[in-house]
Order: sequence, then C-alpha cells, then structure tokens
Amino acid sequence: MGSTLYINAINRALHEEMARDNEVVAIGLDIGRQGGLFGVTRGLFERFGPSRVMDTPISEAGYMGAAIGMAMEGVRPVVEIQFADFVTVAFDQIVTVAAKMHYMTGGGKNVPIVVRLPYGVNVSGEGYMTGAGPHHSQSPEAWFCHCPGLKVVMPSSPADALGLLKAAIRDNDPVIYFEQKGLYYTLSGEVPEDGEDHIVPIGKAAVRREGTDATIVATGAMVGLSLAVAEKLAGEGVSVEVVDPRTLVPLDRETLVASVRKTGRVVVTHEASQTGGFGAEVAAVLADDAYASLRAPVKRVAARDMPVPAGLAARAALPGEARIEKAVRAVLGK
Amino acid sequence: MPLDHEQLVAMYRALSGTRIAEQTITDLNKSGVLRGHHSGLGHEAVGVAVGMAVRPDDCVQMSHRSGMMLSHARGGYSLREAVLSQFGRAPSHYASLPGRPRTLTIVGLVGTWVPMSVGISMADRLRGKDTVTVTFFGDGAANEGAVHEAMNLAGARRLPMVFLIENNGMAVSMPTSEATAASDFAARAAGYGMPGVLVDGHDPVALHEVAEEAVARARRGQGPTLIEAKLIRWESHANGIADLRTPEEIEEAHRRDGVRQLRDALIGQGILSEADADAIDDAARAEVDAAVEEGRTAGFDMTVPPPMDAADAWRLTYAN
Repeated sequence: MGSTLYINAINRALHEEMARDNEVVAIGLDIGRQGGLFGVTRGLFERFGPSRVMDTPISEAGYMGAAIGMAMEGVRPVVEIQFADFVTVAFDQIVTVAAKMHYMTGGGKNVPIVVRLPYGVNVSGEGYMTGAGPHHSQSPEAWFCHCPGLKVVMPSSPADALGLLKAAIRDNDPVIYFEQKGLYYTLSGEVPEDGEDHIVPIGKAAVRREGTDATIVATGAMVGLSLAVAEKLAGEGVSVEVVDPRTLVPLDRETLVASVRKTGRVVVTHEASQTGGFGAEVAAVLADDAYASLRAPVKRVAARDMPVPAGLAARAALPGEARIEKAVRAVLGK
Repeated sequence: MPLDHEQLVAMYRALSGTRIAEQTITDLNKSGVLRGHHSGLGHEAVGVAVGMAVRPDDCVQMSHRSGMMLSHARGGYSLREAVLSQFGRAPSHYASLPGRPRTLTIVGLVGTWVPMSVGISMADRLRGKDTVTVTFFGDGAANEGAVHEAMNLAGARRLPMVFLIENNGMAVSMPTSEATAASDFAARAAGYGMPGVLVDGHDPVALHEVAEEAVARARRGQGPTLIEAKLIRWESHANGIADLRTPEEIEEAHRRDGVRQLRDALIGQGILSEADADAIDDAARAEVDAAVEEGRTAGFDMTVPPPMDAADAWRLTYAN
C-alpha cells in the first residue's frame, strides 16, 4: 500500500486500463497535450497518442454522441466532461441514446462508455475552488439516477476512485462516474501498490466506520465530513456508523438495511440540493425495507435548494459538519 | 459512373416494390388495421438511390421515412419483411442482423441520432477500415444543435461520411421556409468545410449520381459531404395528424413522382416495355398482398401487455 492523491488514483486507473486494453480510448476537451483542465488525464496523450486520446471541439452533444457511436462498435470510450455542469449539453445523448440502446435494440447493441463528471466544490476550504459558482459547482447525480439504463458511481476515496473507474471501464453498460473535484488535490489515501489490479465492484456499498447508535449514509465529499462528526460524537460516547453507498445505481440496499436494522436511526447526507435528491431515494428504500427498525424519522442533510454560490458563500448553501452533527443529534433525540 | 440498363431496371424494381409496400402500409394505418406510421410515400427515390450507392459494409443510419426503401435496395430486406415488420412479425429495417448490410439505429428524437453516426465513422477509422458512414435526417432535425455539432466534428476530423438531409418542406406543420431564413440547407456545408450538394429528391437517377460521388469522395479520404434532397412528402407527418398543406401542394408532389418518371423514361428509351413494367409491378403487388394476408392471419393484438418481472426489466435495460 502507498498513499496517493484522489486525482492521481483516477489518472492511474486511466493509464492502467488504456495499457491493458487497446479498445479503451479517452475523449473530451483539453485532455490531450493539456492533460485535462484539472490534470486528470496527464501523460495519456504522450503515452497513447492522438488516435486514442482525442481532443474535441467544445461540443458536448457532438462528442458524447460520437463516443456512444464508437461504443456501439465495441470501443470503450472514457468521456471527460470538463465540469459536471456542462453535461446538460450532452444530456440528450446520454438519456435518449446511451441509456436506452440496449433495450431499444433488444440487447443487440450495448454502450460501454464511462462518462467522467468532475462535480461539486472544495468543502475543505483548502486548495483550488471553494465555490466556482452556479455553473461550475453542481452535483447532478440525481438526474442520472432517475434514468434507467445508466449506472451511477461516486467514489469518495482514492482507492475507490481507482477501483470504481477500472470497474466502470470494464462494465458493458454506460456508467456515470462522479469524481469530486474538490478532493482532487486535498484528499490522500491508501491505495494498492502499482501493478496491482484493484477493482471495486459496482453495486457494493462500504461501511466506513462501524457504530451502533445511528447511521450516516454519506456520498462523495460528505463521507469525510461524516467520519469527522462520528469521531467527535464518539468522544461523547455516541457510536455512529458511516455507510458510503459508492454506487448509487444499482444501490446496495442490503448493506444500508443491515446498518439501519442495527442502529434504527438514520441521517442521509449529500452535496447535491435536497428536493428530489438521492437522499430521498435512500429514505424511501429504508421506509420500504427497514420500516420496523426505524426509531426516528430519517433526516436529510443536503445543499439548500438554490444555485451554488460563488466563493466562500458556497459553504452557507452546502451541508457541513455542523449540520450533519445537528441532524445526528436530532435523530438520537439529543 | 452512369447506371447501366440492368441497374436502371433494378432501380425501377426497387422503387415500384417499395412504393407498393409503402402505399399498402400507409393505407393499413389509415384504415385502423395498424396504428401509427410516418408514411414514406414520396421518399422512395432517395432511399433506393442511396441504397444502390453504398457497399454492404458501409454503415447507413436510416430515417423513418426512407429507411425501408433503402434497406430493400441494399438487398436482403424483402417487401414481405417490410410489411410483416409492421405487424410485429419480422425485424424492422433498422435491425442490425448478421449477413445483412450494415445499419445504425436511430432514436425517437430527430437530430439526436446524428452524432452517433460520427462515432461509427471514428470507430471504423480506429480499426483502419475503408468504409463510409451515411446518416439521414430531415429538414426538422437539421435545425437541432446536435446536428450542427456532429457535422462540425466530422468536418474537423475529415471523416468519411455523408450527411443526407431529406428536406420534404415540412416539419410536422412547420414549413421549412418559416423554420430558417436560408433557402437551402446545402449552403450550411461551407461552414463545416465540406461540399454541399443540392439535388432533386424525387429524381432517383440524379440522387444516385450525387450519392455515388459523395461516397467515393469520402472513401478517397477527402472528407464528408452534405447532400440536401428537396422533395415533397405525400402524406401528413403521421397518420392521425392533420395535413395543413393545400391540395395544390400535394398535387405537386404527385406531379414530380420519381417512380412514375423513371418508369416512363425506361419505357421511352426502350429499356422496358409497358408489359415488362407491369410485370414488375404485379410481382411486387402479389408479394405485398400475400404478406398482408400473412400478417393479418398471424394474429396481432397490441392491447395485451406481455408479462414482465423485475429480473426481466433489468435484463432488457442493462447488458450486465
């Protein structure tokens, strides 16, 4: 094991998969000589050349559709959308074309693309980009969770970023891969040694910290904040479990339900805005599958229903440790 | 290369056959035996002509108007199948089937399907193939943003492609003349660094010549071409939707009918006798009529939903 930055883990997955399989190609804006706006694709162009590392004009519908067409021919494109927010331009291609192709062709064609979406803001307050404003800071995972035919993953650690991207590239369905861009240069973590083929299976949640009094279900950057809250509350003798779904679709219901059967009290937290968010789905799943175990209403801690403000003002809109802690105390009746 | 006599007769056979099949399918929908059709009457010439200009390993993304005609002209898709597919008893012309000429599906949103074809061309290039990709779309789709992005990408990468606009003058009820201030879509090609060619969409011989040259140009590595085929559809957008055009406009479509024009020309040049042409028509009609009978007796009930459970739904929706 060695420690690496979140961004380097993503870069490593791309290098490993492109070296392993000639069918894997990368396509997007400024991903070639530039190495990606954030540096995620560094070294790919030099190593694999312009036929497999394709810079495109600014035209998200055009290159997303082209990636889908390539995928239908058995190529495995990894598409970088420069900011997750820009995916709206390509939304029609993903939802109308990619997500429904397997169904529409009676299983005759599938679309093995990965769409990499750098999302969110830097909640740590360190490094690049606190709030990059309403058009460069969103967490739009719920849009994709609502579209059958897509798989949605959201790694919160370098090891998961590595393993989930490798799994996504090998998957035969379109996978939307949410990478938290605030974590790129602020989060380090242990990853398996270079050369080890580290795969995190799609559809498996992780229990980040075990506990018995309450469960926090957290995604992306909220996982780190939730672990900090759990640590703080442990000092008061409160035992908090933190569950990271990692894959939002298909959701690992069993792991969530098992945790709630144990604790009976749940807070769900995500960086996206609240209404119609992924937290609502988790609350509904628990109401379905673990109703008898619930000893308090499920609490959501999400961003306020507003555009993400620019700069430090983003922190007023986004969930933070204080709001998560307050919600945990509320479900505990403290 | 100009079509020889044998090819001209083959072209007439495909035009006549698909006209008869399309007329029959349109009538079955109008009478309520079938439910839901975007009639391709008036679009036969463009489908047949392009179908005869491509190789089986070239990839063609067909439109909902002329796709059946194109598949038939490329070979392997019979009039019987064309009719039976309407009864849910045979694969549609969009299906990619082993041993058949190569096709690419479309989707239910016009324009949205075009960028996909650019990807097919890019994949073929990655694999070092000398194939050409042809994509069809209409005047309505031509104003969609995705089409602009796709053509720009194809131009920038000099891809071996043909973009074919079937301009039938009307997007549901929006006349082309009100949808854009430009008189011709072909002129847009200049903005993508590719040639734009305007052609009479009712004239199968002229269409074939233009398509053949565009395909050859692409195969020579000289990049994509935009072809605009101007024509008039015979029917309204889809059955059950009112046609806002005047009777004179629809009469004009019939007056310019390419199927009849080729028939008259072949008889005039002595390539076919009247009796030969009649025999071609009669054979097609017999095949189509038999297929209708087969479709009707096979039983067809759209009102009974098939059973489905969660596992079925997952298996249909996801590859793994």
